[in-house]
Amino acid sequence: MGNSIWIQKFRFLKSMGFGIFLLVFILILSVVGTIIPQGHEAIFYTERYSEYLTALVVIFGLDHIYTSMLFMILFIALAINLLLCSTSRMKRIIIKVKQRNNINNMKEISSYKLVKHKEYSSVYRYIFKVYGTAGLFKYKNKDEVYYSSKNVIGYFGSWFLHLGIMLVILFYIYGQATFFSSDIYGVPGEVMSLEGTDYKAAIQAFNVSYRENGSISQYTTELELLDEEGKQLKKGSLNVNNPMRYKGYGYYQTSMGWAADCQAYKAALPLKSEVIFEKSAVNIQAENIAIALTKFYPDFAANESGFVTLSDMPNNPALLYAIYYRNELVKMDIVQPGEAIEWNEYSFNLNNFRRYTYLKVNKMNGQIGAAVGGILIIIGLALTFYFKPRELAIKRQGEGLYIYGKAELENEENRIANALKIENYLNNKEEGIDVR
Amino acid sequence: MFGEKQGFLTALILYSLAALAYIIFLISRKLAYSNYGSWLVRAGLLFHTGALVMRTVQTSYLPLTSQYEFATSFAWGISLFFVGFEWKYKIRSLGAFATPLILIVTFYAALQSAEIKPLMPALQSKWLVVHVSTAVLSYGAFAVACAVSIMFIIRDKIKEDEFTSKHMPQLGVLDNISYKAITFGFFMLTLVIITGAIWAERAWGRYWQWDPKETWSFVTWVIYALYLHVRLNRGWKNKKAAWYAVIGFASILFTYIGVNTILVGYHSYGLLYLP
Repeated sequence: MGNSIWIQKFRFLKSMGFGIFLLVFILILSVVGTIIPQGHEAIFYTERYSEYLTALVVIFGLDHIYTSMLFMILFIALAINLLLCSTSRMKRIIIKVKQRNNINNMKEISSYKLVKHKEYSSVYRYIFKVYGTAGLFKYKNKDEVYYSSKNVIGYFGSWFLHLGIMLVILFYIYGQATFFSSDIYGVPGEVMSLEGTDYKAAIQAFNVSYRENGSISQYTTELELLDEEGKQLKKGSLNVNNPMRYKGYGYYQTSMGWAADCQAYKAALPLKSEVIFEKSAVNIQAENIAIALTKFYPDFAANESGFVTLSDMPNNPALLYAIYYRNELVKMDIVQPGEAIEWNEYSFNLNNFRRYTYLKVNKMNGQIGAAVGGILIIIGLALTFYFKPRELAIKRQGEGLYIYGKAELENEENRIANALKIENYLNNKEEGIDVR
Repeated sequence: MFGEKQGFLTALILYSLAALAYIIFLISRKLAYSNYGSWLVRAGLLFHTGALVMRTVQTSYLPLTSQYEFATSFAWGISLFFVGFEWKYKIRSLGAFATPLILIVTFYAALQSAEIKPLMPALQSKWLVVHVSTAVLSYGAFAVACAVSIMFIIRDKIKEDEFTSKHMPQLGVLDNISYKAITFGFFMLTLVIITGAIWAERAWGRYWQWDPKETWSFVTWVIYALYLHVRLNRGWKNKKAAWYAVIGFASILFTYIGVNTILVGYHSYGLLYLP
């Protein structure tokens, strides 16, 4: 009794019905994830949805569906379903392959009457050709039965497919669980530690290349990786769609912007000097004052729509800055690079504008496993759709010629068309056929 | 001078006339109209191909990078598949169901900006060519499957007479054609997703991140995977399969048009990503 419950559970886990249920569930959640914006703070949903809906989003984790435990569990269950299904399927495939070339496992497709005969082999060859088993045909002469088969590998198609999907799921989950992601950004000459690793990245150069028409053709960063003592580990260049790789880490050209040197003074005495990036600020905590580089206009112009840049080239550079004192905005203006910015006893100078590069550093484990899974999926689909197994047997008994085939050959329209072709062939004496 | 724009507009006119001819054929039951439709759509495909070639020569890259370019290539893909299927299966009335789909996508392309822009760094990848061209083939095959399935549904409803038995294939044949188109489309869609994943890894450092476009491609893949699964294992055929193929194509259209217009993600090339 106990055993039968386990057998039932096992059967349920490997069943196609369970697999379909999981797929439909995953499908619904995936769609919901595209409707509800993902990865925002609770306040984001409170502002957009009703109280009841926000509660639903938060309680059921609908704000992070794709990384939720439920989503992962569904995928793991699907992987288990595929594993069990593939295992039991393999047994059936092996039986099918072993049972090849056995007329007892085939059904009669059509029969013909032979009146006279000389060379049967040409007739058999023709019949095998009609049924598309000519490519790899072979004969087994046993009790006047001739066999031909093709695309035996096709039996393994769905198995490869299931195995491939299972590998993709498992390696994706592994990759997600161990995913490392960080960012580095800076101007050429800067050396920065990479959080979570024991080495540093030195930005040697950052170039923006242009086409003749002025459009940007590529962004390229020259990068050097150093160990803790400053010894070079790797040096190379990277650009969009062409990352630099080192020990599983990939360095991706993700973004860029403008940066400048910023000097801050109080009553002409230097307070701070550091690089300021566009849309960021230099904060002098001791003085409760900060200066933000709100926007840099390389080719500044003022028109009815406001301040704009006419091109990407520094033809008429200008910058929009903002000064905050005790978290209050106290001054905002447009000045040229190097022009003194003054507020009370404080003064600032923003100069030496150049581009900074922004790189994403990612490490996703299990990519090779997922790639193998992807290849198996392609192979599996190709075998399933385009390498359909074909088996044929021709039995001669007295004056009768009987054709047998497996289910794959039983398409009614094809059967009729093929039977007609063979009938015509057998009746055609002009082509040198010597039967009947 | 006859350029890409003129070629595209000529194709649009020819497709419209072809659709009209096929519909008249269905209504009047005069065979000559189906011949006109067939020649018109072939001529449209020729002009359409010419327009795409001219644009490729002008831009030095395949027309697969903007909304307009993908839409016109998508329409070209449907047109190519339709002409191929019509030639192979000699189904006279298929045009009445396929040419409206070609027209819808071609009109959608006509509504987009055809301005030629320099290729942004994000789109400079050999994977783009494989990824998007497989999408054109996949979507084209699914569109033909949808047209054949609509034909199945209508054929199933109307009375059998001389015209239908001569010019509209038996339900079994239609079901089989739809299945074949779906298997090809599904194979190509799998390639679309895999090549997209490889490209995403090279560009963003992550081969899958549930971007809306990725998610909807996955949703579409699952929809068709379920279709194939139940068909191959449970013998799900005919009417149910035909309705399913129509729903599947609706998902394709949403993945292509809906996601681009309603949802925002990495495929919008506007957020975090470089211009």
